[in-house]
Amino acid sequence: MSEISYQTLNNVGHIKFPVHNGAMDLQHCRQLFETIQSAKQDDSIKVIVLWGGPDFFCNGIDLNAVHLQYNSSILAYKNLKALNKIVHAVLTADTKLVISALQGSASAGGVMLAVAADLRYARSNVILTPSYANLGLCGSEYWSILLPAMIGYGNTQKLLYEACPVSPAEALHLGLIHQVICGEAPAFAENITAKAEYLASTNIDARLAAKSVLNQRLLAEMDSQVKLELEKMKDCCNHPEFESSRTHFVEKNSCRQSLFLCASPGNNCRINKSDCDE
Amino acid sequence: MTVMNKQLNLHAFKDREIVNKLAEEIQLISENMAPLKIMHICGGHENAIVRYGVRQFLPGHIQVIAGPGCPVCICPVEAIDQAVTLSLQPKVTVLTFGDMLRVPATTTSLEKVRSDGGSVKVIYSPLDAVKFANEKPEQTFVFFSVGFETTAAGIAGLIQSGVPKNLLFLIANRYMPPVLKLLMEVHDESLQGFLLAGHATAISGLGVYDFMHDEFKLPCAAAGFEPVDILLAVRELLKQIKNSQHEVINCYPRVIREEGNLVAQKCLNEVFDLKPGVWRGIDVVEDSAYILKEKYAFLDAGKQLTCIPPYPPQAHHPSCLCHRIMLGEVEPQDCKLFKKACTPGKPFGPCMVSPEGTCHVRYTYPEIKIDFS
Repeated sequence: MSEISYQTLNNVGHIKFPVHNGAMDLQHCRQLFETIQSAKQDDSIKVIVLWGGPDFFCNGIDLNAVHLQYNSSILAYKNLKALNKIVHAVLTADTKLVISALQGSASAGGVMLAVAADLRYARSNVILTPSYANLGLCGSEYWSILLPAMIGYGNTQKLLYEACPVSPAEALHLGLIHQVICGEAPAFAENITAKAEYLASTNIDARLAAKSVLNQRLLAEMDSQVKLELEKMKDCCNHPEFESSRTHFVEKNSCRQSLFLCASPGNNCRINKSDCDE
Repeated sequence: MTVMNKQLNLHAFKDREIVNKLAEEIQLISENMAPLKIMHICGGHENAIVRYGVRQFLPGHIQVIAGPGCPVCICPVEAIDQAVTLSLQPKVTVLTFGDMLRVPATTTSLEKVRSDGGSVKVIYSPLDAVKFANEKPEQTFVFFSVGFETTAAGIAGLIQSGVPKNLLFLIANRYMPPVLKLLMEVHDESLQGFLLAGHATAISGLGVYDFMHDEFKLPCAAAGFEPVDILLAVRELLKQIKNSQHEVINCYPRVIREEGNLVAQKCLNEVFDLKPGVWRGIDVVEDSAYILKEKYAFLDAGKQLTCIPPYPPQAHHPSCLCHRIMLGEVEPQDCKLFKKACTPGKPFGPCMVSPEGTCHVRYTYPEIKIDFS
C-alpha cells in the first residue's frame, strides 16, 4: 500500500500515513506497525516523526470496512488490536524519541496514537476528539494508562464521559499536546522537521535516558491495563449500541459533525495568539 | 500407531475406574498450574462431555469450553435460504439430513417450508440421494450437504463414482483447520490448547494442524468421544502445557492415523476447491468452504438452478447469542432466550437444534452432580 511511507534524513525518520479520512483498516494498521518497527530498528535515526496525513492525523479504526464485514464485531476487535499494536510499538520505542506532528484532526484511537508519542505538536486548525463513547465503545489503545498519567484522573473522566471534541487551546492547556504551531502546512512541516533534526543531533542520549526513567512505571503497568481495556472493548464490540452508532456513522456519515456539535460552552475552540507559535 | 483391535471393547472407554484414575492424574498434573482454558471444536465432544459429566472430573481451574464444532450450527443461513428457495421450485426436491430441517433460516425453516408445500425429504445416507434420483428421473433432486471433512469426503466419493443426471448438490460443507486461526484471534492468548475433532481428523490427518505448533505454539490433541478418550486427551494437553510443549498429538489412535485417510483426501482434492466461506454468524473464514471444482459445475445446484432468495440473509435473531456461544465467548445461560423463548421445540438459533449444538446439549442434559465421596 503506497499510502504509508518512510523516509530518513539527518538522523530523523519521517513516517507518513495519509489514509483516506484517517481511517485505519487492518491492512493499514499492519503496514504502519511494520513501518514503525523498521524505524525503531534503524540505527541511522534517533528521532521518529509521525506525520499522519494532511487532512487527518488518524481517526482510529476504519468503521466503513468494519461495517461491511460479515461479522463486524470480530473485525472491529481485530482492527482495535492492530491499532493497539501500533501504539504499543510507539510506547516501547526506547531508543528513539517519537514526535507526533498533527497537521490535521484526530479522533478516538488516532488521538491515543498521537499522545503515545514523546512530543506532540499540532497545527492551529486541529481538533482532537479522544472519545469513544459516541461510537458505543469504551476505548482502547492504552488510553486508561496514557490519559490519567498525562492529563490527570479528573480530566480523563471529563474527556471520556462527556466525549466532546477538544480545541487546540484546550489540548495544549490539558497537556495532550505540547505546542500549537500556527501557519500553513509547509511552514508547520518545516518547523517540525527543524525541531526533530535539532533533537536528533543534540544530546539525544540524555533525552532518551530521561525518557526511559519517565516511562518506566507506565511500561510496567501497560500489559495488565490493556488486557482490561480489551476485555471491555470486546463486550462493546458485541453490544447493540456499537452497531447502531456504527450504522449511523456509516449510513448518515454525520457522526463527525455531531461530535463537533456537542462541544460544551467550556471548550474554548479559539486559539489565542499566546497559545500559538509561528 | 496402535494396531486396532477388531474385538475392541468400547465399555472400557467408559470404565469408572479408568475415568477416576485419569481424573486423579489430571488433578496431580494441574496442581500448581494457573487457570487455563482448553477449547474443543466438535459438537460430539460437547455432547459427550455434558452427557457423561466429564467437566466434573476436572479441577475448577481447568476449563474445557465449546467452540464452533457443530456442523448444523455453523451452516451459513444463506445456504439454508437457498435450500428453501429450491424446495419451492416446481419439480425440485431438496434432500438433506434430518438435523437441518428445523434450523431457523432467515424467514422460515426447511420443516416449515415443507408443511407449506415445499418439497423436502430427509435422507440418512448420501446413497439415499442416488436411490431417490434413480426412482424419479423426471424430478430434479438437490442434495443439501452440510458437515465437516467426514461428510465432505463421503460426498466427494459419491460424486467421483458417478451420480444420476437429475441429482445436483448444494454444498455447505466446511473444512475445520482454518477456523482455529480465527479462534486464536478472537480469544487473544486466553486459549492454551485445542481438542481436535476425532472424526474430522481421521480424514485430514494431524499434519494439517501443524500451523498451531509453528505459528501459535499451542498444543492440540485429537480426541475420541468416550469419557476416557476425552479425559486422556485433556491429560495429554495439560502435560504439554506444563512442559511448554506444543505438539499436535493423536489421542484417538484406534481411529486416527497420523497421515489421515489418504483415499478420502485424494477424493476431496479431486472434487473440491477450498475457498473463503461463511460460518454462520461467526465470520468468513479463509479456505474453509468446500466448493465443487469447475469440472463438476454441472452438478452445482447454485449454478444450474435459480436459488437466490428474494430477501437478504439474517444469520441470527437480534437477541440470539448462538454466534458468540459457537466462538466460546459466552455460555448458553448468558443468552436471554435460552430455556425461555428458545427451546428444542421452538429454536431461535441453530445451536438449539442439533444434538451436537451447545444449547441443545445443555438443555437436554441437566447438570449432573456426582457424589465423589
